[in-house]
Amino acid sequence: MTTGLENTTALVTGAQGFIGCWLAERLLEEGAQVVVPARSVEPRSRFRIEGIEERCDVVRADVLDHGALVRTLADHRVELVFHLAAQPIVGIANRSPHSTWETNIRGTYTLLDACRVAAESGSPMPRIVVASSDHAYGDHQQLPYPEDFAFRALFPYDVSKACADMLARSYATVYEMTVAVTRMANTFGGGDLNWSRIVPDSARALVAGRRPVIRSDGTPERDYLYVEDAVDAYLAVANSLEDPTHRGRAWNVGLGTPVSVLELVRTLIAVSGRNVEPDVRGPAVPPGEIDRLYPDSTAIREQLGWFPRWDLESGLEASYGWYERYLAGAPAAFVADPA
Amino acid sequence: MSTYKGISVLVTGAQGFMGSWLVERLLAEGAPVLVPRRPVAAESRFARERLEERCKLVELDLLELESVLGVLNEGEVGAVFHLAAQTIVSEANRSPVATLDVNVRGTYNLLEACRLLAGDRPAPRAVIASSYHVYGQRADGAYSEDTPMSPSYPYDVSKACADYLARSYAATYGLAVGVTRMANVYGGGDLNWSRIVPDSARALVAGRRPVIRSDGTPERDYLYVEDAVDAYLAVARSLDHPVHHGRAWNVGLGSPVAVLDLVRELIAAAGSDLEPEVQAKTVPRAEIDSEYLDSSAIREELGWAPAWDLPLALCETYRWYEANLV
Repeated sequence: MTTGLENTTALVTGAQGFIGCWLAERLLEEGAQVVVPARSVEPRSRFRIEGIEERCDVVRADVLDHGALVRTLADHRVELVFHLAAQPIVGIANRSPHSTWETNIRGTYTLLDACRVAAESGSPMPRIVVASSDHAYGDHQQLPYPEDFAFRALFPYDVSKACADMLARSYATVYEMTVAVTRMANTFGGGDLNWSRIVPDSARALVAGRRPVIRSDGTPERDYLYVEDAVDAYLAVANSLEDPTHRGRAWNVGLGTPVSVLELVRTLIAVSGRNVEPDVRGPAVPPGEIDRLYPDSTAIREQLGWFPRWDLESGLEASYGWYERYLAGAPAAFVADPA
Repeated sequence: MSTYKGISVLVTGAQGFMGSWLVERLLAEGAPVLVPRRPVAAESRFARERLEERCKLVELDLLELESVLGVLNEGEVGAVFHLAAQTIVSEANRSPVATLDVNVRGTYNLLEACRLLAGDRPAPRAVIASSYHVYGQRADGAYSEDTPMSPSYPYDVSKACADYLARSYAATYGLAVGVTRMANVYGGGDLNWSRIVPDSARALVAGRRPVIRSDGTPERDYLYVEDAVDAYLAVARSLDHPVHHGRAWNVGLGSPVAVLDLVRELIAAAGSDLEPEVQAKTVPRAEIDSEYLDSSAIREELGWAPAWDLPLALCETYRWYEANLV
């Protein structure tokens, strides 16, 4: 892919998080300057321990601070914006909806509007990619979901992403801004320290020689995506914005094959070389979660030429290797069974 | 009806057009009504009808969760009608953040405060004003509540966000929340002069020709404000039954009326022989071509029905402007 990122300046919100750190790393490798709004950093995050943080320009500009964002966009002459800052955990959104609304909804419109205002004052209009999610679709009987499916989001995380998604497309339409939206499947890979998620949780259990725990009955189906393929998709969507017909578009991104949680964990166990069985504990679907969810990613494959370079097994192998190395150097409390 | 006797009711947006009618009705039903202290324009219906004197004023900042919590808690609020919004489409296009703050953040702060209060006593029930604008620009025809939302302009998106947020609180936390998606509401006291009924009425009172900025063909569903008040109360009552929590209700007459026909009807109500001045040959940007609401759910399930037809309601409306404009 010719990325043409040399000497461009990109703002990456949420670079401290899992996908954000991989994206920031890739942008740096491609020769871009990466500006990152400061937020609290987990001391043992991949962003910090793999030296990504020190190569970025970390600025004091909260995603809820319109004025500071406008100044940052202008001062750094930002040409690319990747908005990944979000409260990403379904369970936390159910327990703490308000902080999820603040980050995921208000954070999104504040950043979008800052881009609008900065451009009105003479800064370049950046190309903006906003991370929505396949969760915005909510629960449908018909699978997979194409991009023009109605949003049936009902639970807080899903609603927060539906709102962010509508807001981003509105700014593209009404203010003719170069904005696009990604709706990615469940992304996994090294550096994801959200232990409530199935891949990090299971990898950690396997590294410690324990059985991975499945909180559902293992049947809920999702589409998955390895983090490096997710980064490819972010760059492909950013590139696509040179074409005016792609402004305001939303793009599904996933492997395109639904995988049950049980199958996912079994595959992870296989790549780990451990001889254990998953510990299946839960009811069919935990409350506040969607049963079957997978997007139809035909559009981004056919129109933007993106395709996944990693299948489930190779992605899980790379991920497991990362957790093995990471947890080998981690304090014992990190590896311990949280239960 | 004494549904509200002794139950404190908070009405956000009370000083606005719709709010003033709702407050008046709630007072007539014997409810103690709390209204946020806001500047009141002397020419507003809220001021003219001296409604403020009959309400309890509270200090409420919808953009501060703590403030909303304090008001609901200290006021022992049992029901909330959330009408506060930046409602002008063109203003939303000019300053989207101000609109999104009031319409989206204000709504989630209110819902969250209701959730946090659930415990010793039931959480306040809440009726959230969404809008038919959530359906966005879709093919002509009737919108039912199942029509997928497809908003694009900031005002439309702000209402769609509020709508999703309200329903998620019912689905996730069992909060007693109902959502109204009303058609274009008109009636005495609407001082938003960018709207067709107030603007035309003002012109007619001054003896001028009403101006239609479009070509007169856009079709809308119009609803008289007293019928809208009936619908708010019907939705609030529906929340007695958990099966209605998280429902959204369309409210309209169910028949589309072209702007030109509406203005002609208003001219007739005014007893004038002026002709409207049709300015444009096209439909302006940020406006939707034709739409009306399928309101059969609220009619059939809640027994709501409009009591006013268009000519009668426009007569009543015109009388207000005639009496109150100098």
